[in-house]
Amino acid sequence: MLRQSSGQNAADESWIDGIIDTLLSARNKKPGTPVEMTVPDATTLCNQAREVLLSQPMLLELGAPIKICGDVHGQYTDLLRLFEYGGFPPEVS
Amino acid sequence: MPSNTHVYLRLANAILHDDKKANYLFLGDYVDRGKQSVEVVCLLFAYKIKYPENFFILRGNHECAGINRIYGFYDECRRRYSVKLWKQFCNTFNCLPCCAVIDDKIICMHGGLSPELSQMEQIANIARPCDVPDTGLLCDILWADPDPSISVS
Repeated sequence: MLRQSSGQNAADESWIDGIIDTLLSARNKKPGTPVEMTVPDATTLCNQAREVLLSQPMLLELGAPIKICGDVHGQYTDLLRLFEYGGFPPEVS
Repeated sequence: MPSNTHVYLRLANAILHDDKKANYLFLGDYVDRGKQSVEVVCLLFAYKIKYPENFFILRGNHECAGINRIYGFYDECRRRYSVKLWKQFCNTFNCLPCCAVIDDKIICMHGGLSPELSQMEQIANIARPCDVPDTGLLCDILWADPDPSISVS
């Protein structure tokens, strides 16, 4: 597994926790219920994800065990169901 | 100290396999077709930020502005948010890795192999951010389909 510190401070940490909570709130709602993000939050997600992605290689070297998933194609209910089945990060189910 | 065998076994398993963490690798195509591409991408990006060493997302052929402009993601972004936000998502898609190797044994990518691929370093050396080209190595890695006429010599 790659080893690298995430470089986040406490404010970033609570911000990302809040974003994840918001996105996971759809778990308790009717399938297909939209989760409305704010544009500033979505923009920050893009920028921070971009930084993390560029800090890691184009060719990842990973270790087993790892759960491999594909082709979600905008089916958010399926993605949540997938995490229900395999465990929401970081815990296994 | 734990006193029963089951606890020891679980501890050993955790140490050997890091099984306290649910490690994930997604193989791309997060957007288009479905109605909630924005939620999908936001949650995947959020987990990537939160758990950078345990959560990995590869690029699919739909993580490309030229494709998701047509197949749904652009329209969803424009309807629900703005074209500017769509462009920001696309800028981050241009930074996604395209390939993963697990335990030096299992190669993972959205599409498949390329006739241009002879050494794995070629993949590592693809510079980012980058668009998905119409031909060549990165295009094949994201687009290739299985071909029964090809055999391993």
